[in-house]
Amino acid sequence: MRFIHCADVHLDTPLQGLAQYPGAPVSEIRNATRRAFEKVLDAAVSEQVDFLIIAGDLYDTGLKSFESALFFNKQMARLKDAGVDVYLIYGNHDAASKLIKQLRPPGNVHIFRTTEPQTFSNDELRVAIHGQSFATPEITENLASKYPPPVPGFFNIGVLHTNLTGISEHANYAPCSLEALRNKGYQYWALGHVHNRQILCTDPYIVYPGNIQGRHGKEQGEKSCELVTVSDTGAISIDTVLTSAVPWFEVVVDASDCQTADEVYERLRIELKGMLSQSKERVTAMRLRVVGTTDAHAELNRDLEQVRHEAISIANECGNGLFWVERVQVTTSPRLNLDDLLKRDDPIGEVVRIIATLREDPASLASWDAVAELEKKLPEDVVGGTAPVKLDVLMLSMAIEEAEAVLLSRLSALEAL
Amino acid sequence: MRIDSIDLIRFGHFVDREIEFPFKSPDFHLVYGNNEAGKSTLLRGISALFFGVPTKTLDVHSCKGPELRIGATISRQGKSLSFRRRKGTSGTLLNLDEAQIQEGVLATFLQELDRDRFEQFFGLNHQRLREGGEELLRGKGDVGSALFQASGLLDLRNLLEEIDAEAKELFSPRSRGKVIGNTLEEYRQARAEIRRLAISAAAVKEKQSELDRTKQNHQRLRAEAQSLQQELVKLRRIAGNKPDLARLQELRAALLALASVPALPADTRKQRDEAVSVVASATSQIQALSEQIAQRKERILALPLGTVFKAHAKAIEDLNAGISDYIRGTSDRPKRIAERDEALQLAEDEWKEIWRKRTISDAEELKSAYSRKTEVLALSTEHARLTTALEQTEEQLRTGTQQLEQIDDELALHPEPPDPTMLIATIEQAKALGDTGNAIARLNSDIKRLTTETNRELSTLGLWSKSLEKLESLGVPLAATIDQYARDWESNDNVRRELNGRLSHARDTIRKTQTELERLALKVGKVGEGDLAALRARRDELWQLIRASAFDKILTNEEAQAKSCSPAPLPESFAEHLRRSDEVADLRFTHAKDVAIHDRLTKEIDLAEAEQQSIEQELAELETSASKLRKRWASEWRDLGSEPLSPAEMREWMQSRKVILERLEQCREKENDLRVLQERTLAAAAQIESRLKELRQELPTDTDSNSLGVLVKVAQCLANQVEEERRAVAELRRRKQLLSLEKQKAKLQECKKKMLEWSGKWQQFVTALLLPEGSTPAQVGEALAVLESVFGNLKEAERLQHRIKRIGENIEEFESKTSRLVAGIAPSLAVVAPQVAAAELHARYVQAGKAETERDALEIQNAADELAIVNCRGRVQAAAATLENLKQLARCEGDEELEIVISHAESKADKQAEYDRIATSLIERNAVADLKHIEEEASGYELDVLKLEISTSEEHQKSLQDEVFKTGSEYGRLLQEFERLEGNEESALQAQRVENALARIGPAVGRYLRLRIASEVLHRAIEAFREKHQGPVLSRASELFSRLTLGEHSGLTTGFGDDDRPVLMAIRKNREQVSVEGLSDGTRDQLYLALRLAAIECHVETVAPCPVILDDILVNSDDARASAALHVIGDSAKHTQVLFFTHHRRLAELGMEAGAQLIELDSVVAAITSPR
Repeated sequence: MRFIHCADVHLDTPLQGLAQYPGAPVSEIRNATRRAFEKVLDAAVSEQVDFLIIAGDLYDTGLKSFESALFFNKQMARLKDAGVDVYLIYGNHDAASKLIKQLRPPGNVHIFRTTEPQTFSNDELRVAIHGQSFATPEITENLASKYPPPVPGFFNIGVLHTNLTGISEHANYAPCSLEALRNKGYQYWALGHVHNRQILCTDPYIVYPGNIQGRHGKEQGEKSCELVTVSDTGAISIDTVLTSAVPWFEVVVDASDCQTADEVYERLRIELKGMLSQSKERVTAMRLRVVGTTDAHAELNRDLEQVRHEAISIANECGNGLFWVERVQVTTSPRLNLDDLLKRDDPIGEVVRIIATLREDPASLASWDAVAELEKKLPEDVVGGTAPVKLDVLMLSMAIEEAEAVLLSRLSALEAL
Repeated sequence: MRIDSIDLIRFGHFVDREIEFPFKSPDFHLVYGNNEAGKSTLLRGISALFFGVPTKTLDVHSCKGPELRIGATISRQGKSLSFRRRKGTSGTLLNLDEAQIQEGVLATFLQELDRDRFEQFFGLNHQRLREGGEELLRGKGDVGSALFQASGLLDLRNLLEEIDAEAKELFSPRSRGKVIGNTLEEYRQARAEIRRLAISAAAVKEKQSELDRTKQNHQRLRAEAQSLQQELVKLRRIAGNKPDLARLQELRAALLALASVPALPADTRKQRDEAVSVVASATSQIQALSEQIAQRKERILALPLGTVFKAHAKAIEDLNAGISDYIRGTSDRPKRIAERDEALQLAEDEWKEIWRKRTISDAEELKSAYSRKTEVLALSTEHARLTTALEQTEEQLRTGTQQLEQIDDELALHPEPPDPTMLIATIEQAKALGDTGNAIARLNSDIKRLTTETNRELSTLGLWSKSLEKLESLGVPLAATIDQYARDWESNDNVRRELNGRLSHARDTIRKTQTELERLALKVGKVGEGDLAALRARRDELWQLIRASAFDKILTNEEAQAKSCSPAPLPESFAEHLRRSDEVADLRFTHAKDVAIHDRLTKEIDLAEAEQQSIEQELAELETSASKLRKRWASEWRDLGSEPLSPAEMREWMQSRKVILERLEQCREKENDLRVLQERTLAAAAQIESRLKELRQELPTDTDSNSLGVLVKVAQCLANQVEEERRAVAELRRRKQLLSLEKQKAKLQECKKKMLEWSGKWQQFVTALLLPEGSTPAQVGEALAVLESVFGNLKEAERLQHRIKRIGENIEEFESKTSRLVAGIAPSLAVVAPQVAAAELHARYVQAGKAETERDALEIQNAADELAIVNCRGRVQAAAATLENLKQLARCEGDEELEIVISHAESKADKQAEYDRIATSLIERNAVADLKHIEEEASGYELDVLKLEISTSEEHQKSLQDEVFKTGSEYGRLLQEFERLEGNEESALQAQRVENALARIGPAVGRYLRLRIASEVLHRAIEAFREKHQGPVLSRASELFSRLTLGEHSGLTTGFGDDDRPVLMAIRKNREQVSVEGLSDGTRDQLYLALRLAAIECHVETVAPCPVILDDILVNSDDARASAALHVIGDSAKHTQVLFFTHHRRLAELGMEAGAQLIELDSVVAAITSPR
């Protein structure tokens, strides 16, 4: 018996943080989640699996149009033609979307009900699949505790959307313990909700496959689903099927030995050339970070926009047009000692002292014209509060650091003797 | 910190050079050097020393990178450090043994300076001075900016404008800026698009049911159309079969009629036609070939034979080749004979010109003499040279003899003068003493002045009436002891002052408090808390006595009265106390506030009195200890002979004493110097006089023998005179020695001897050439020239004779060969000339060869044609056999009969083939096993009826197909629409657009914040810096500015600009205030310089001194302003070291006038060729 276990498809959610610029591979990132999902289905067909499990969050909360559901139905019809059944539970994001429940999928798709746990059995394969969908977006009760006992002589699979390990970056829905799942007597737990791939236990197998496509800079690396093979003796082997249509990577350049920005760029060029093999001819979102205590600090910080342009140009050159630079972060530090600067009785000393005061209380910036004007003049759905661009302490702190770097580098660049 | 020296070990073009900067106040060093002298290198070197050599340095041309070294000695607060710097990335600081040392060692000297700070703040060049002035103008004299600039940061205004412009590009509260505004617009559009594109589930379901309906309708119509199509196919098939079936019927009848015709192979007609054609063509070919062979045989018989020519082919060819040589030879021979005779005649004529009596046959004898022609010419040259030398030598001998006689005459007139060496040495020794007269006078004057001053100061020195010597030997306490006493004394005074202060304060307090108390007492009387308590205590005491006597009965009334100690009766006394205590209590209650003050004041008086007592006690103790101190102090000065003053005063007294004693010491030193100088002067004069006597020279009678200077000058003149005479005599002797007559004589002899030797050799040649004895070199030369021509002509005659002989031999050989061949081959040619006969022979030989070649070709062609005839006959036989065979097959005899049979057989075969083809086609078309089925099916239909039926069905089918197409298109459209929905990505794409826009807005907002914060921070920093430094820097800059402008401006002040920011204003001599814009460029530069120097001075004062490097900053100033600036810089150099680099000699001179020490860099560089 073979099956594929995937989760957190988040169909048709856009990739976040990719600002367009000339040369960016715009058309290639279209609908990365659809293409990733197609990869899952391609594997299901080519590997001739018996069924596919989707462990929740097929759609995203913000789904406003029925297009995604139609696309999903069409793909399911494709599996139907290939004789592959699909077992699906709704997760917290699916429950939040009212639209999708109104379109009936093809007959090969089995959706677990929301009212109580449900079991789908296949006597020929001798497999029993247990699960329960989320009725509402926020389920805080332990769903797994009510799952039925294993069917004797069958391979029992539990499908569950849960934050099992209480990972703080994910909402703590359908909580339960690892121990409880182990003691349930099932042979495989197909989990969803956590976006990083994790195999929490191998006896029985308790698996988070992670999401199938990274959606922003924090969901880095290759994403995948699990191809599970169960032998006649019940032995389980798991293969990983890579699914990212657009992988996200971070490239860190250590500029410690560099004297000039040109040397940093040369190092970046080497690093990016090395990334070409990892991108495997796919469009790849790149986050570039320049770190280290370096002589090039002042030159880099004099004009960060210039650094971004240079980095993009190098990425275009090295990536054969496949690299999309999401962000260029310069977090280098100068060789000069800030404590010494603080003591100086000169203009630079004044600048450093004012910055030091600000650094202790970044929130005080909120009363400055620069910040107040932004909050006042930009639309509420863009800036401030719960909007995507937050003028919070974190952002203000970062702006303070960058302002200091810009000032020190430009002041020290004012022509020397 | 200051730089004591810089050691340019290997740096730039410097190798092994050291430049010292010796300390002297002001610490002002002027480094002068032409362009390319190395000033810039030195400037870079200073920076490299302190902060390391940059990776991409220019200063490695004298060495490789790792060998670069620069060293220095620097000092700060009495400590000094010598170190070196190498090129590298880390650990580049070395000690003098080249061992690595920590950078921290240097840090204590640099005082937190870094490279930028050092170069920007402590360095200034002309360009930066100009930029500073311009920046002041751009900033419109903004004080904060000006102070920033004065601390080394230029272009501040530019920086602010640059940052603000960058921020504005992103966002502006008024216009929203380009970047953020545009991106927001895009964000909004994408959001609106998403809303527009959203489709609902109901719409999808509606579409799906419409799709299903259309699909069913379409399928039904399609089935109907298909069944009609099948029927139409069948009818068309039957209609198509009808004509073929009729044709088959006809063919069957024709085949039956041809049944008796034999079957022949398909190519029978072709075989017969080919055989007939072969027989005809082969027969005609045989006849033509036979005729050609006969013609060729006739031609062969007519061709000539060439056997004789073939045998002599080589000889005939050779002879033909020699014809032209033969003809040329017979023509050349007479010409050469004439030339030979002419040459012989010329030789004989020339010979007779010299040797008239001899025949030309004697010329052979002269050949050996002629071969030594070179020697004869050499002897001729030798003769000319010897003759000239002989003449010159004789002339020189004559002149030398005359000169010698003159010198001897002069020497006889001048005797030998004595040697003045010792006199000169003595004079030099005397000169080394210098101007002794003046020195003695100066010393005397100094001694007199010092003595007077010392005595004057001694007389004014208090506490001392004894002699100077006793003052010198007076025992005094050590300075440290005095300092200790002074501190104790001062401490006592301070304590006393403080105690007295406190005492007076305490007394004051008591007095004031008492006055206040008295004022209150008028109001509240004796109502103190103590008074009330006393009254109450007395009242209670009296009550106890009353109680004991009246109620408890333990005392009698008398006893109680007695114990009350009161004259009044006990009850009245008690009543009185009760009343008074109530009164006091009431009074206190009524004047509670005053009472409280009264109580407080009473307590304060008590406290103040206690304090007063304690202070008085302390004062008494202090006086005791002060008295002891004074005694001890007096005992320290017991030798003084009078009471010492206070330690502070005695310290001054000691200072005065020290000055007097120093003067005394100076005076003694001068006296000593004077004595020594006088002794040396006398000794020198005596020695000079003694040396003059030795030289027998008399001093002029009017010489002042007391003045060593005069004596030395006179002696010097005399010595010079003697020296001059000695030089003249020596010159005469030298000339006499040079005139050596003996040498000239020997040379003459030698010349004559050589001439004799030459004559011997010459005569030998004259004889050998058969010339008369005594022939001159010129005559011999002429004979040799003639002889050369004679020998040339004889040789030419000989060459021609040899040629004539060879031509004759060739003619003879040709003629004999020709006659031999003619005799053998063609005797008829014996009568013609040999060259004609030879040509004719050759022509006949060529003709015979051509006939031979033609004969061979004809014979080969005949053999080939005969073979072809044989072949033709074979082909005729084979064709006849084929024809015979065909007749047998056709069962006939003659050729015409064969033709008829072949025609019938072919017609039968064609008809059978057509029948088979039609039958096969029908079976295939109808997809049946045999023809029978087809014929049966067709038998039921008439063709005309069938065609009508087909036409009707076709019309029905057309309308049905239109229907199917319509429903199909509708279904296709609906299906496409639905599939498009299934694959539609537009909403997702717009969602991605929203994210892309947000991804641009976030960083743009961050960038905007960063820039705005930077701008604001910079403004605030400028303001803070201004507030802090405005006072000291501006006040100092004001002074410096006045001096730099030679008083044209009396100073600086601040006013307010357009935006209420403080701005700089210059004050003119006439008190008028001028803004920075109103100043000339040069004056603005000076304002900037004043600000820079003031900022440096403030820094040096508050932080630490550091060398200031000024690089040719005064190139555009006139002498007066440059001098003023250099004096101002010189003043700054009193606080910190200043190195001023220039390549202007004039600035160097002005700098030295302002107290600078000059270091000439050119001399340092020039010395490279001769290292230390």
